Amino acid sequence: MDTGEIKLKAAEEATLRLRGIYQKYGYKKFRMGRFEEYSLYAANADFLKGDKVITFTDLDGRLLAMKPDVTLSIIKNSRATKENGEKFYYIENVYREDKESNNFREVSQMGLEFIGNVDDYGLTEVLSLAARTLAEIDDEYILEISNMEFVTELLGSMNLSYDNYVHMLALIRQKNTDGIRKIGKQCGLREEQIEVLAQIPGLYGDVDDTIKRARKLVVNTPMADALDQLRDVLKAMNEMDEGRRIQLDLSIVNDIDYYNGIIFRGFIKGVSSNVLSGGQYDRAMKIFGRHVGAVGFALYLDELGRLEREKQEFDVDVLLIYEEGMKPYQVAQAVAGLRKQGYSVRADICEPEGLKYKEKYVVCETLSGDFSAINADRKTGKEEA
Amino acid sequence: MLSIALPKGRLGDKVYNMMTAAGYECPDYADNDRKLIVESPDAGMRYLLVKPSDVAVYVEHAAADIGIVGKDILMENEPDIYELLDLGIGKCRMCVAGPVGFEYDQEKTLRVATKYVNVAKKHFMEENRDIEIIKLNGSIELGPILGLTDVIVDIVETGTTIKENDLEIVEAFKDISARLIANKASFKFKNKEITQMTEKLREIVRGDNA
Repeated sequence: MDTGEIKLKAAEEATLRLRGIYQKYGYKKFRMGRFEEYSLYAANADFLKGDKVITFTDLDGRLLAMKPDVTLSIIKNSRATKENGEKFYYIENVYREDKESNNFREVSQMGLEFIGNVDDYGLTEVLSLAARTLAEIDDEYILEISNMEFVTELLGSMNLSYDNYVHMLALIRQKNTDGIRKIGKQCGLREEQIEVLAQIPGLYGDVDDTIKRARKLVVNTPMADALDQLRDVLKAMNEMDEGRRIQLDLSIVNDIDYYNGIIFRGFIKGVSSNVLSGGQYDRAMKIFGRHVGAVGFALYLDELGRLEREKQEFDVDVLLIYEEGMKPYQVAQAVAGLRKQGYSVRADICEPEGLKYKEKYVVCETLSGDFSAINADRKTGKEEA
Repeated sequence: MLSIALPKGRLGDKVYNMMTAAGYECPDYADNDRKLIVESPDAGMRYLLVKPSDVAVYVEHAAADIGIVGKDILMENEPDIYELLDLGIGKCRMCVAGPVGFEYDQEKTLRVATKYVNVAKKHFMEENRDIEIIKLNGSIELGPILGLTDVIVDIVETGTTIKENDLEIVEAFKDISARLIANKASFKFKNKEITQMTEKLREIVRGDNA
């Protein structure tokens, strides 16, 4: 007989397991308030990639916002120093604009942050936990990693105007080689510079091979350092046994005002966009006057809801019908009996519309005077206990 | 199997011819007029025939792995996708057009009829011009003719429609053509197939331009 195992949704199951894993590496749970001063978001609209937030005036007259993002609050409130680092994880809801429906929507996020002395081991640990996070959700995942410095140092050597620099970053991000060539020409870059830029979108795939190809494009020491750092961190990830489904993609770049260094994205087969994103944000810390390293990632739990799990055929194993006016202990005895046999039970006085159950039972008095549940089809007056 | 979203109509047919030349033939495509999905198991392809403005939506949500879409639609909607190749077909220009002899009047708010609301906003913001947008979904040229707006922003291919309606191009500010786009997740999981196809198409584009 079925044991009546209740299946949790993919996201619920994953969050439970992940909490345990994060705690094993010394990350503490952190609970945040739901509101934040609106001015924080107004001043950092670029960080949010949008300026739409739900605002309201609190009873004391302050303009507050429902959080559209967790990281900014963490940066603002962190007391971490190099010597006294903070490692924590969170599960929070944030409120963002849904471009397609033009409404706000609630987004569930689970994230992990390390603020303090973020050295290469620290990066290794966070990257390994990101890989573990994806593996807990599905075996078929890809974690792709880049070091932004490779691209930013290359662009930095080309004396582009700010507008062209940002435009070029966007084209690299889109893997738009035709666009890179066109804009490169417009900016008056030399032919060999354009060729180097046009190769960046193709720098993805297997770790060793990609680093080898990238080496050929190095024009200054910081670019070489960026590749060395990637190599070291990825080697260390192998030690943590999390190096299997890793790819490099040196075309991943984020907003250069807030992010720097290592950056990564996680994909799960069957989900249309990345379910995890993360990276270093030392620059954002600096904007808030904090001179410490920071790295973290967020997992978008909503996206996981779309992973098709086998649909539950039944809502419950047993629908238990009792008569109105029965004593509570009588019903309780019958429910307890069914639960002892491992069934999931819904007790009610009549059949709820739309409920999918395997079997229908009714509460009956046994010869010994106890109450138990009896299959409704087999009910023939009083039964043997 | 790769699924590709093609815009229904003339551009889609042109793209299909390129795909055939690249070895992704689908016999059912040619003699199909109603079906929205045609498959070619031999070529490992599934063709989805959708409204041109919806191609990027299908690709962004991974209902199609790749797609062919006009740059005008990418500029307007800015979907989060990879733009892998300029196919060099379906060429036209994004233009501002007005009545013959039209000149900008800096003292007045410029009224603009367009279906490309975001493109128009961005363009005039870069020119530091104050505008009011009236969104139309077709027959945009009627805007200035009826005095509804001063100018229009639209794509212009040959310029015949513009001329026939007594309008002229005030400025052409962006070259448009069809682009090969890919969903970011599909690009990771079906990388070999997508890269292979991109390279084959690139060869054909080069051949056409030579």
